[in-house]
Amino acid sequence: MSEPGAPEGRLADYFLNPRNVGELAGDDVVQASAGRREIGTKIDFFLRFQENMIASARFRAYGCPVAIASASRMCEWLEGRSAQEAALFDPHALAEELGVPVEKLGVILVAEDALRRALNQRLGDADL
Amino acid sequence: MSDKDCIYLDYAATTPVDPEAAAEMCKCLTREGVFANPSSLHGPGRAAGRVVEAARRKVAAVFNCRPEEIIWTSGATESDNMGLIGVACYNCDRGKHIITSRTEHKAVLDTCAWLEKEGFDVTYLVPGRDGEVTADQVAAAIRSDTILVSLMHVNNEIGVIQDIAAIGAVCHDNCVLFHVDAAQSAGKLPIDLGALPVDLMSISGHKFYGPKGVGVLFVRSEPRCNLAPVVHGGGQERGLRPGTLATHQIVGLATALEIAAGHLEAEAARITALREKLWTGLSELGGVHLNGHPERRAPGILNVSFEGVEGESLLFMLRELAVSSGSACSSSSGEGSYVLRALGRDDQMAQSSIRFSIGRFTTEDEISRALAIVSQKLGRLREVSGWTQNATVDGRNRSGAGVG
Repeated sequence: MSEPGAPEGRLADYFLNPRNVGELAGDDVVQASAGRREIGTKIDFFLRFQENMIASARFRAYGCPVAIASASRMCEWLEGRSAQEAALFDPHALAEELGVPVEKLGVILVAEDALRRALNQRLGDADL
Repeated sequence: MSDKDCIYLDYAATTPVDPEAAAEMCKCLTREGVFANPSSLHGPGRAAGRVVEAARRKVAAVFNCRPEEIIWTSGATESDNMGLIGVACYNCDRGKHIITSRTEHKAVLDTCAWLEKEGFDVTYLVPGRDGEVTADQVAAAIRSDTILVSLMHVNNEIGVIQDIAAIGAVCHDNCVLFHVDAAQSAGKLPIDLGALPVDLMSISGHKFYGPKGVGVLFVRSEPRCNLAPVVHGGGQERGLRPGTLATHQIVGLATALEIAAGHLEAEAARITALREKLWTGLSELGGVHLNGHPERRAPGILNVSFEGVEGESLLFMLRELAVSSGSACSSSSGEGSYVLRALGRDDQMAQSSIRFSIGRFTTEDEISRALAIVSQKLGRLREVSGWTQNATVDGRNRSGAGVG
């Protein structure tokens, strides 16, 4: 039996073995962040575009297990998608996939904010 | 990994029952043992009563007080409630001002909050950055209508030892009663109630290898400290704490306390050495800050904050260790331990804190293994967050942001 609030299943897997950790640099990279360390969650996304496709996605995350797991899974999901497809990201679908408890949904919304700021740099407000 | 493989470093939360205490408890439970109601007047009842009174004498001997000054309760939380509410209600004609500190246990803080709703005025002293409340602070806060000061001997989160001798002297100079929550110090530090100016003291059995569900409220009889009863019933414990006495719990507490007191100095030295080994190893990891006074601290408690990691993640990553976190486990609030925030730590440092507490069964090998685990897991989380010494991913320099 696990303790209340302990990450399990896919959430635990992405937290304990996060994929796509790191940073990207270059003219073809957009970077955006959301949250603040002072409030317990800060997420940075680094997206490398080739044409209109996200060729690579990396992240840094300071936060609870949900923050780390969500950012990691989002990076996986983003790679190979167009900016327009990425804009269709659904935080509720990610919460369901990872088994994120409802009281932690706000953490995924911080990650979503970071993603939308990154995409905004690429697409501009009108396309989001 | 099973729970038994976990390295237990949470002795400030609770302790396993001493085997000798457990054996004594078992003698009070079954038909063959001393199971009868200690208040009954028949033979088996009087036998149980004698066992309870022998336990009372043992506890009184450890603290150098009178047996009749020992009141059995269910634990320190109940003792705190009885002491504070009892004194407040008995003395409300004399005054309605109470002094405590912001870093007290919730058992005291929540009781004070309730008393405020009942019309009492409570002053919450702010400790220094090292967690100490000084006698001068208490003296400055005392008013003509002050009836009680309540401060803990050892802080449960950061292990800081308050100077209860000096604070108690100030209280008595001003004819104010002094209550001490000694849940974290009983059985670990010497407490001589024959010498200390303390009127009321709360302890819990399970903090010193006794059972859970039993505690003591010491109530000084000379000069007499009067309390209004909080619980009403059958008149046991001089009417202050009615209810059938739990013989097995009482015997377990007394046996465990006597054993702990017998090994107090040697254990304190051994545990302090383990704590220093742990702190030395942790501090070498960089970006690790000691919370609380560097010297005036209980042997077994080490509270540290880690730069570059969030507390909940660190706690889950350290699941091979049974430790406590200052994290509020609520990233939406971002608030950490109220004790650390009262010491002036920023939210990040407060919610990235871990309390390691060392006890009788902790070994040097366990400390070495715990250090290796913290080093590895901390490194992984810092890699994810992009933390480096003196700088973070968002470029803010945290140099000089230390908390200890």
